[in-house]
Amino acid sequence: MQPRIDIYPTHRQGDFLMRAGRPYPFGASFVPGGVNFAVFSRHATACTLVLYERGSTKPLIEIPFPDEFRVGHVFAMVVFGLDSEQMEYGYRLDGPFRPHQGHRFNERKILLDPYAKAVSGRDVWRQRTYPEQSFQHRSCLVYDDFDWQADRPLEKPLEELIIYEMHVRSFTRHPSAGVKHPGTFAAIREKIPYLKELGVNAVELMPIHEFDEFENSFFNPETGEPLLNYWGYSPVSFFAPKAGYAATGQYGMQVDEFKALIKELHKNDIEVFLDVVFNHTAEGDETGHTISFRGLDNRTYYMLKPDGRYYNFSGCGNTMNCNNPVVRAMVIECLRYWVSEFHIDGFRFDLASILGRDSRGNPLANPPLLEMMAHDPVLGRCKLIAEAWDAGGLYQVGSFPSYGRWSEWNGKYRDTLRRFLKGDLGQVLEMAHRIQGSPDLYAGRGSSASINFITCHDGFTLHDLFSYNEKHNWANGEENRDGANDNNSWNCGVEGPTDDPDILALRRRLMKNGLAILLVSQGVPLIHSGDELAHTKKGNNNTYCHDNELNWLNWDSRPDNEEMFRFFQACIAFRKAHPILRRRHHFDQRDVVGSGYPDISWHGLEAWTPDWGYHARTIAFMLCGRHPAENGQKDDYVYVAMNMHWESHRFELPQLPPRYKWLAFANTGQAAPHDITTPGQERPLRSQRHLKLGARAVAILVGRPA
Amino acid sequence: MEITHSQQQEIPIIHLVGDIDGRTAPQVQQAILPAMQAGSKLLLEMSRVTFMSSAGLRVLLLLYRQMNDSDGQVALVGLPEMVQDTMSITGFLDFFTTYDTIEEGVVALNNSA
Repeated sequence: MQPRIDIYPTHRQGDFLMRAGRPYPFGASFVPGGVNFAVFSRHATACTLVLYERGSTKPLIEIPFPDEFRVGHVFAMVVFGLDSEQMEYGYRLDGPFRPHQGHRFNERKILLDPYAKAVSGRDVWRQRTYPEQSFQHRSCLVYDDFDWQADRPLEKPLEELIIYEMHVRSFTRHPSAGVKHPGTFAAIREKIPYLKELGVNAVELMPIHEFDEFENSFFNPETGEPLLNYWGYSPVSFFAPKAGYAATGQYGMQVDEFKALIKELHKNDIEVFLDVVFNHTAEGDETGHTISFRGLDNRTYYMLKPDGRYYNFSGCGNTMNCNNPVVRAMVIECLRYWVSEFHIDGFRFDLASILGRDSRGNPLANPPLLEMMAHDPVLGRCKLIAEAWDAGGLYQVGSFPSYGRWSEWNGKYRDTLRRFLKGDLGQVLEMAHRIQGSPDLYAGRGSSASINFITCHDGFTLHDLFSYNEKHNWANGEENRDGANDNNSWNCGVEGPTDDPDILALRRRLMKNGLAILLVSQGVPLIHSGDELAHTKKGNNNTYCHDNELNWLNWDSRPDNEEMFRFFQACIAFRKAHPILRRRHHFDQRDVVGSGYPDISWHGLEAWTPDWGYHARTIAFMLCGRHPAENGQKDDYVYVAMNMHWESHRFELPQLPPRYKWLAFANTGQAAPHDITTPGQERPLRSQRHLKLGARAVAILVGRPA
Repeated sequence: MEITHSQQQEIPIIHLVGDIDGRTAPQVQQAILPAMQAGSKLLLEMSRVTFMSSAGLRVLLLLYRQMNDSDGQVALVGLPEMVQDTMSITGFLDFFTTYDTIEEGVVALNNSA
């Protein structure tokens, strides 16, 4: 190839040589002989590139962009001969400070490049690299030549997934994890065998974008310790993986480390989802820090009220102006970057309803950002999952603009299942919708539009759901005001820990009931990390601020909770063994293959006679395995009986075709190890006519030729 | 960065001492290039490498591949634990052949075709 003819400097400042740059791509990119810097600001009057040597508090040089280097609203410059590995940079923007008009320029501040692919300043978790009031979060350059070999996103059908929601640090920070670099991407890689053993085939990582763990002004009233922003739902950057989550973050190699983890997860047939927080940033409201966007072009990046103050639909001080064309382009480019450079399989969008609001916060009928994501070529096969509500009161479960692509965290699934499990009246009919993939919410979109869950990072753990009636968030330093109040939980008779064996047995049973129903429901199950070991957060339902055992997975608790782990493992394996549990589309509710059975049928204590009444607490359903799933695979018959009553009941079993028999896979009314078996090892029931189901118990049967 | 040469049983050995990063990587490159001939064998002795940066790893991998592409053979010897750890975590280790000691490396290269 011919060398380029324009690789020579036209300008000089001190030892540094420059020429006009290219206005895109935004950010800093390698060009022959140098680095191209391009930064957008519509309202700035001037821009200066500030270069630092890594580790130094004083800038190496400040290079103002000559006026002739500006193209439109983009300042663009090539600087030659930089040692990119030792260099950090930021921008100084000049412009009006007129908050009532939305302008908050401050040329004393040095700003992080919003397109930086790596950010220094929190290179090691809970350590400040630079003094607090200085330019802390610095933009860095990274190589994007990771050798993926044959890897690419796995592109599993969504309905095949069993998603495991986890926090990078919580997963391996506990000393019992026994890993070389606790709390890091590298440590997750060490623990892949555990994920395989459990059987999940997708992990959803809580935010891994650079955030500031020190961003919290509360103190733990019990210990006096300052609290953290531990979960990280507060992005400093959208493009940079958190350095403090990488064992090699101190050497600036977090990008390679994270990619190596993803490659290894893919090799083990596990997809990787990112929890992305495009609804707000770490800059907070008028009183917050200026890190990047506010100083670059406040009026473009944030939703502002007519008086210039911030709209707060996120509950976190500010709201990203997502449907502004510039911001929209940034979000799309960011997602493309994660898919193409990191091979990310899917995204879960935090408070996604905000992404459908206009610059004044009004919900849009046809939000351009959501439509672009759905139709974007690079994102064409990745999964898009919305948390279909926001903190501004917009609740779109079932109505999130989907464009045939989007799935939703089904909050109604969680709420109904929880009410049903604790024996609330009037739940049976709605539970039937939820079990079928919520056709009442997702007609035309199919069951895979429904991400089903009973617990997630927000709210109680599965253990605490049946150990506490009320939240106990005193350790969060807000006098128990934070966190949700409507938990639909039940303590089984004693609030918190108890040694009453009956209560403990009931709690275990309820946990199993919940998990069993989740894994036989149509839709995509999501499990929150730790539930498989009955992890407790001691009744705290909002542990966003705790870097301690409230969040850390205790690996030593496995022997005591082997019963629960085994139950999870078997239910997951059962789901994988039965394609009929993983249909993409909703049931037809009738026999479409001539098997003599509808694809799904509902039953009560009498077969074929479900009790949909308000007072019902028992219900059963049967899936006909001769109705093939999308892949054409035929299956067994599956029958699930649910008794949420505090007394035992006898369920009449629907009759199977000749020579078929009912076999027991699970019965939570039985004590372990008889509560569940390995799929394929099921034993025939002694009575093929009736099933006696204990109080508050779930049974799962399979019907196959004897 | 300090680079010395030696030889054992006709296998040339290049000893790398110090940090390998964006600044020193070109020196490594210059030292290795003359030793790279079609079909040649080479050991990089790294027990006194104090730090390996992102750029350092990349230069090393490029040289390694050039060498292998020309039917040569190159192996890394005596990686300090910290360097080995960094290479492992970032996925680079998978691409290299490594031996604990020079002796092992010499035997392995001499025994291979």
